[in-house]
Amino acid sequence: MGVDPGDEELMLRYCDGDAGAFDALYRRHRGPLYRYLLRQAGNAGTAEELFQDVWMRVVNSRERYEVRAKFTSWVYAIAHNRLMDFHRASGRAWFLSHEESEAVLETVPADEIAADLRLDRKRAAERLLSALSALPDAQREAFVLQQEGDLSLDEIAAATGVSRETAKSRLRYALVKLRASLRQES
Amino acid sequence: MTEPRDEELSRIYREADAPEPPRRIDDAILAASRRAAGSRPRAARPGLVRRWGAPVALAATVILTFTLTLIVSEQPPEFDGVESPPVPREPAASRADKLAQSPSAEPRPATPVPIKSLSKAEAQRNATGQRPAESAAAGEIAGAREPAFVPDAPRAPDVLRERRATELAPAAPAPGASPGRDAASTVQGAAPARGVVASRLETSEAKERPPEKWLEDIRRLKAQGKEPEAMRELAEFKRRHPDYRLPEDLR
Repeated sequence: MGVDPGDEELMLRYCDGDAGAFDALYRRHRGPLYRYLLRQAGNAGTAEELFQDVWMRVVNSRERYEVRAKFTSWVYAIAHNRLMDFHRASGRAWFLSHEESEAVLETVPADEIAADLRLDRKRAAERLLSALSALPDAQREAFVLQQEGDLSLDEIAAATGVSRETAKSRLRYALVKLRASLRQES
Repeated sequence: MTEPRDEELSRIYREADAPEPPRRIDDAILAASRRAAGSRPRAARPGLVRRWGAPVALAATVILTFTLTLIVSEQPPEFDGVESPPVPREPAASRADKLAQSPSAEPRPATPVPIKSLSKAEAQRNATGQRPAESAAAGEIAGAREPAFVPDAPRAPDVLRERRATELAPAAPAPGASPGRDAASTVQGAAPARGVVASRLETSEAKERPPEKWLEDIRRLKAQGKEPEAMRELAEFKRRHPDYRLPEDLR
């Protein structure tokens, strides 16, 4: 059985006119990318609009595409930039005043998940999503990029245009806060 | 350096609702991608050009060379570049006389005829039913620079031989005209340009003439006092038939 071609290989094939390669690429990433946009935009209408726009940018870039990074890093960077544009256009001050100091982070204990939530996984998932939506945009974005895009810390930093340390800080805050949300109201 | 990751949170997140884009958006995006892929394939990438450029260029060169060689080898050679002594025109005319199948006819001197009479001769030839293409072929040969004629052209294709035979066609007389005179005037009318053609043809004809007939012609030349022509014919005969045992009177 052959190994599935990588994302970059599929994109190169599409650039050479193989429409089937794009279908495969799209099927592989449609769900995660949509959820990333949905979690960050907050409503399905905006997420759909941005989602379509991101994929059309992928389609239109076929003339000049070159493999310089992972396909996912590239496509999530496009999505991040589209989100920024959207928030700027809608007058929302995104990503402002959300950076927290490492000192504060160090004091947050790693909470145990409540016993009842361990048993009721559906309720735990609902609780997690609720906590996720309450996170600051940048922290939520770091967590969702890790979970949906399967991006490494460096790739999250590259996609969002920040340093590795900043990306790491955001991700740690997100993890601590989400875990804390699962401890409460047990 | 370890990356912050919480496997338990990841597991709970994966079990949460995972919304997906609506089907209509899928269809719109895939349709757009197919349109773009079908409309204009991207130009070959530099890597692809580097990889295949040299072999493709080499293959194209080989194919081109082969094709040209094939074309050149199949073309009939007009001249093979071997210089041979120029054939005098006077004998050409006398050969034309012979071609007129008039053994008793007096040999006529080759009198140059003005170019005007060429069209007359051409018209006469046309009256005998000769095809225009053949005339054109004859004109093509006559119009060429006076060449170094090569009597023996073993590689000449049948087409050329047929053309030359066509030149002999005036032997068929026009109705009501003296056959010998017609033939002679046709060939003479083409002189001097046609003299070249006639001399070519006569040599060609000589090639196909039976040795006995040829010797008879040589005897006749001698009898007519045309010693130089007879000697030239004899030399040509020896060249063509080196193994033929000559009769006593011609040795």
